[in-house]
Formats: sequence, structure tokens, C-alpha cells
Amino acid sequence: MKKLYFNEKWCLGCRLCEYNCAFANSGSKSMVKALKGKDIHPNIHVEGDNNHSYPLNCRQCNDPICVKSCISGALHLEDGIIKIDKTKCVNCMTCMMVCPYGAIVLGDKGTISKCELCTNNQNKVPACAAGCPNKAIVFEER
Amino acid sequence: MKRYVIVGNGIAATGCIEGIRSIDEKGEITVISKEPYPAYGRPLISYFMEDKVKLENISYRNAEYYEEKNCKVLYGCECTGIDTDAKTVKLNNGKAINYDELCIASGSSPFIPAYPGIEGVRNVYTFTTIDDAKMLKEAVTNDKNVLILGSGLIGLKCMEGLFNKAASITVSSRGNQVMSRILDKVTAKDIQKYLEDKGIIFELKDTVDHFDGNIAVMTSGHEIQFDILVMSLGVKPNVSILNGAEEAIKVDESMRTEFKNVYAAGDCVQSEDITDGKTKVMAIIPNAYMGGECAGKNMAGGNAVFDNAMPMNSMSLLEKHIMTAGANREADGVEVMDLSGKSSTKRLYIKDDVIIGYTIVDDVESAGIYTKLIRDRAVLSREQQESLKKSPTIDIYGHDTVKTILESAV
Ligand SMILES: Cc1cc2nc3c(=O)[nH]c(=O)nc-3n(C[C@H](O)[C@H](O)[C@H](O)COP(=O)(O)OP(=O)(O)OC[C@H]3O[C@@H](n4cnc5c(N)ncnc54)[C@H](O)[C@@H]3O)c2cc1C
Repeated sequence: MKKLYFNEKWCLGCRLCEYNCAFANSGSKSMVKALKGKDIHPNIHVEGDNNHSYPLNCRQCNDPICVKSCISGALHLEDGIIKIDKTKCVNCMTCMMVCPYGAIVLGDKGTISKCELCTNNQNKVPACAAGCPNKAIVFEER
Repeated sequence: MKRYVIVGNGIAATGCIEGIRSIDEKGEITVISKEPYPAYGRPLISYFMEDKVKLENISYRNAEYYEEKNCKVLYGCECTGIDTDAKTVKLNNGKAINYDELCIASGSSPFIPAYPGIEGVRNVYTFTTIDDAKMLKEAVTNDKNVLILGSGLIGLKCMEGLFNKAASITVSSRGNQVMSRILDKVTAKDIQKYLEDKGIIFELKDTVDHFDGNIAVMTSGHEIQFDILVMSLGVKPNVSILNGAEEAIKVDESMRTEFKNVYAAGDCVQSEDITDGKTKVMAIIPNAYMGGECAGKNMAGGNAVFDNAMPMNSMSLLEKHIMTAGANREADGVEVMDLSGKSSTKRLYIKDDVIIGYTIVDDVESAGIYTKLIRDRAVLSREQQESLKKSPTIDIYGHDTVKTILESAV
């Protein structure tokens, strides 16, 4: 299946992916309304500094420890994508306690949030990859 | 075709079913479920009390699950004994079922001390099942005073479920701190203060001597009048079905018991805690699932191990978030790295250059990186330990690993 992969060499650390992610998941039509003057809570994060940086989000692990540790059954696999059933999630953050990549984050309302490869919004290609100016983020089969 | 039998239908059983089916799609799986419900996350009962989770969403898997997994679930049926020689389990309906491979995933039940006068108390509850929560939710009204015996995780989650629903909530405990199994004294004091500020009354270092109707007469002489009593004084493993056992079942790293073709997982087992080397019950969902899954794979002829169990908990209490893992207490040879901020707590416990535990309150993001380092028993250089002082990133795994994480399917 197609997943997101990152090329550290080409990442400029511009954080555009963070903005595109937050916008894609805001449900808003206007980027300005969605993001300007707000604390954004994207599912992707750029780590590092100017000369060494990389974006990171959920790796959609093949054998995900977050799903196995979930106390409610909210986290589940759907066609290889790790999804959150919001009707079940109680925000216990057990998934955050076990994710070895720090890729499960706190979303807008302080609730658990993670990358679902933009299958939970209107985008066809994950917004972070689509908007990356340097193709440091690609969405492909490996 | 192999005949698999699973006693109990909680999270360990769910892991077991999924472990079996990852290897054997055809074998016959029978699940004996005392509770009349599909598997559910037990911790959700306090959220159900708070109306944060609906009963229809409480099942651990979706409605078609058992059909899809081709499992026969005997709801409301209890296993009354196991004949490990004849390889049969006895049921409370008088029948017996044969097994080729058995998994005991029977969990634990509340421990209820025989206090003098308890038979005269009205409205006594425990708090571990959906039915407990349903009854308690029905019973509580804002003119009722609640007394919770036990200040462990279950007692405090019950307190949270009842918060704002009762006239008063008193939590009593023999020990001198709340959540003594999970928290160090300092953090426990902070949490207690936080809850007291919200109106919760704590009666610590005291125990019930006897009951006089709905009055608890404490050893100190103090009397606590109440309308509703909740007993959350710990749990005991449901193991008597295995030759009258009393202690949690010992399993090896493949989840095998001492009996041939008999496996066990979840709250009913004891195994080694990698963070202190001690054999103990580690009653948490992740261990129940992963132990069950490992058992299931091996029952189906696989070769799985679950050799890195440790205690860990992530929970909120009235909006305060508490995360703990491993051996998170001061001890000889243990260095405490205190990274606490003004309004948050973060203490890492390091022994022989390996992180063996942590306590975090509120500053919880990316804590999974510490958990991974504990689980892998990763030996950290001075430089790596220094880098722990910043917020955790995958850089601590080293550049080659970071490259793999970013560039390949993991
Ligand atoms: C209020 C509360 C809050 C909790 N919070 C957390 C938390 O935040 N995080 C966490 O990780 N863990 C938490 N736990 C602990 C967690 O729920 C347990 O570790 C987990 O449920 C263990 O799963 P299990 O499958 O081993 O056993 P169980 O879930 O207990 O399931 C065992 C099942 O077997 C049945 N059974 C027993 N004997 C028989 C028999 N003879 N025949 C047939 N069936 C039988 C029982 O009725 C039960 O349904 C909490 C528990 C409670 C009660």
C-alpha cells in the first residue's frame, strides 16, 4: 500500500507540511481562517534545525503497538491505515505512551490525533506530500 | 482441525483470537464468556458513568467481529474446572468441552474483605464490570454521600465517574498515599491536593474496623456516614478453575503454563517485569492484549514470545493527565532525572545507563520514545542521556535507525 516516506536530505525545515496538514484537517475552506493567528495542531511535525531536519508522522506500522495497547478499541486498522474511532476514544493517551515515534499527538481540542493519510478529509493525496516544495515527502508504495 | 478453547472474553481473549487467526484461519475457536457482553475495555466503565462513552460503543471490536473471526462465544457461561489430563473444560451448564489448545484469560475479580457488620450495609458496590457501572449509575443521585474504600486506580476512576453526581465523595485508604502501586509519594501528594481542591475528601492511613449500618467505624474511631459504599480494595486473579490455584498463574515468555497445551494471559497471570526483574501481576490492557496474542500464535503452532512486559499506565483524573511506566521509584543505584516544569512533572529513572521508569504529569507528548527505550533496555551514552533533557525525539535512536523510520515501511 501507499504510505508517506521522507527524505531527510531534501527537507528544508520550512514546516509547510505542518500548515498543509492543519489546514486539510480543519474542515475549513479558507487557509487564512483556519490557520492565521492560531496555534496549529498538525499530525505531522518537523524535527531538527536548519541544517538537519525531517518531517515525521504516523508510520502506519505493519504491527502497530498503539492498536494493541488501546484501552477502548478506538484505534483500529482499516486497509492498512491506523484509524481512530472518535465515538470510542476516551483520550487516555495510552497510544501516546507506547508510540515509539512520538507520532500520536494532541489535536485541536487537546484530544488524541494522528495521521490517517488524509482519508478522513477531502484530499486525494496526503496534503503534506502534495504541498512539499522539495519532494522531501512522497506518497508511494515501498 | 484444531479445537481452541478460551476461558474468559476480555482483552487477553481478544489478543488470543487475533493471534490464532493470524496463523490458523480454520481451527474451531470456542470462547467461554461469563459476562453476557462482547469483549469491552474495562476502563471505559468510568467514562460510561460520565456519559462520555455510550453503551453501544463500548465493545472492543465491531458488531460483526466474532462472526468474521469465526468464533463461537458462549455468553453467560462459566467454566467451573479444567481437567488438564483429559484436556476438557467443565461448564456450569453441566457440559464439558474438549480442547487441543487452551488459553486461560479469566482476568481478575474484586477482593472483598469480610468486614464485621458488612451484611447490614445497604448499597454496596464494586467497580470492575459494565453491570457494576450500570447499577452504580442508577443508584447515585446528588443527595447521596459516597464512600470509596481503596485509593488505587480503580477507586479513583470510580471517583471520577461519580464526580458531580453525588453530594460528597470520600476516598479512604489504609496507606498514606493515593495510587501507591503507580505513583511515588511526591506525585501522589500533588494529585491528592489537586483532587481535594475539587472537593474530594481523603481519609488516608485509616481502615474500616466495622460497619454499623451505613456508618463505617474506622480503626481511628472516626465515623463515616454514607449512602453508597464502593469496594475497590484490589483484585484477585480468577484462577481456581486451574486445579484450585490461588495465586496468579505462572507463564513463561511464550505464555505457556506448566500444563501441556495450556496457556494463560492477562490479569490472571504473573510474569517477569523487565524493569525490576521481579515476577508479578501486571494488570493492564497492553499486557493483556500482547500476552494473549502471543499465546494465540503459539497455540496455533507459531513461535512467538512476549518477553518485555512492564507496568505502565496512562490515565486522566479530572483533566489531570498521569503517565507512568516501569520502576519509577527512588532506589539504590537509580539516578533520578527531574525534568519537571512549573506546572508539570517529569521524572526519568535511570539505572546502569538504562531508563527503567518514568512519572509524567501533563507534559506527556512523545513519551512513547521513553517507553521504547525502556522496553528495548537501550544502554544510553552520556551524550544520549544529556539529550533526554530536551523534548524527546527519534534522534535518540541514532541516525541509521532514523533513516529506516523515515524511508521504509516499519
Ligand atoms: C475501572 C478500571 C479502570 C482501568 N483502567 C485501566 C487503564 O487505564 N489502563 C489499563 O491498561 N488498564 C486499566 N484497567 C485494567 C484492565 O481493565 C485489565 O488489565 C484488563 O481488563 C485485563 O484483561 P483480561 O482479558 O486479562 O481480563 P478481564 O478484562 O477481566 O476479562 C476476563 C473475563 O473473563 C471472565 N471470566 C472469569 N472467569 C471465568 C470463567 N471461569 N468462565 C468464563 N468466563 C470467566 C470474566 O467475567 C471477564 O469477563 C482498568 C480496570 C478497571 C476495572
